Amino acid sequence: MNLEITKATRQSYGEKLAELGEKNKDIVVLDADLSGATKTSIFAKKFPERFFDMGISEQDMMSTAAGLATFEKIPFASSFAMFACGRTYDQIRNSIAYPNLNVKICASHAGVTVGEDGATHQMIEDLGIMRGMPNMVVMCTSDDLQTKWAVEEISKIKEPVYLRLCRYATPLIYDETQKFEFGKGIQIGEGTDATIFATGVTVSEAIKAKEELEKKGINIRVIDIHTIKPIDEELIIKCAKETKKLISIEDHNIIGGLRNCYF
Amino acid sequence: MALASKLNHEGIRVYCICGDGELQEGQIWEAAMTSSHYKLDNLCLIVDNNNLQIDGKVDEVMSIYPIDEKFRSFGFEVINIDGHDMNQIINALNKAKTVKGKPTAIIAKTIKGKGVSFMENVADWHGKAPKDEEYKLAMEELN
Repeated sequence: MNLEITKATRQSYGEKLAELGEKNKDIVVLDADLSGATKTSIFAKKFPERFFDMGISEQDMMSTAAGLATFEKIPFASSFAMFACGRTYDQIRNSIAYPNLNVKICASHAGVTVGEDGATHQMIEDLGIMRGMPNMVVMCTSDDLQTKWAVEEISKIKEPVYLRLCRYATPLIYDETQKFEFGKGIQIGEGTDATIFATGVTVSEAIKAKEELEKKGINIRVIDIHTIKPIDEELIIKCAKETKKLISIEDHNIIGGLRNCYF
Repeated sequence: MALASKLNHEGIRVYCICGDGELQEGQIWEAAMTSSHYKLDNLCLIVDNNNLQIDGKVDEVMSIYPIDEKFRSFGFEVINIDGHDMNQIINALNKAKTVKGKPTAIIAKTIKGKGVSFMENVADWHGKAPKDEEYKLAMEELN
């Protein structure tokens, strides 16, 4: 697999959102003073009348998104993961998740891979927080094509969604022949020595590990879990039966992270 | 909702009632900023200003006064009324409908538990339901 060409999933998100805005006039986008970084600026430039900069007011952004959803709009609310779900737990729980409103929380800059922004911005608890929310669909995508597929997919489901995106450019893993299915993990390789479960930025790292291990005669498989909730139970059980070990690679706290989905 | 209504050109007016104690929450002021920034003149906020919250008097727990000046500085049209006077309530609501380009805040001065001797101005009644006997007594006084 050629993992040389790279692109950040937040960039793919911004591009796809602007494309969807053309077809679907109900899509509205909110941001909290970070549109240049979350890439909602691409949508904002094309559709300024459907873009709302809420300033550095993430709590109000989530409540406003909830209000817009009650009027049959499809709000996409974006910020960095730390602020999009760290600062807004109460508003998401009570105004979006419990009433099951059609709000898409698309959070960029998740995980320690946000890098030099430091610990205050390195959100490693978001998957745990969002998985615990009733009705909330949780996704985390690993490359450009998968992100674009996911953005379109979530615009069609009438449920609250949390989509976790990354700051840094990561390899393009998939080509046009790859089929994506909501709630279904993607198996890469047939190895039986171990299964590595990965999501988002860790998928390409897991593939690199798989290729290194092959040279040493260790054959593993990688499972790309793009839909974290609902989780692909069937595939996890299949891997548990077929392989000797289950390993997760996380850009997240183990507590509440991917490992917690199966163990 | 007020923003969505503007977006849809539906002409729907949104009325929002909040307590005075909850003005201590930061999110209220985030929303106040948003309402005036997006010129939501279809939004009418009614503040129930009875000066009581769970821990006691609002001005003693964490003062939020002056309420009217705060909302004015946040870009609201502000109307102060006696919240027990129906004429003042109707006039204020009618006036709010005529305001253009900004939201309205009606600050309604009220007395918690008004009309029931053992409930009036008692913070303890902020968050509990009356027992059957208390309910009967209260209803007799109100009738």
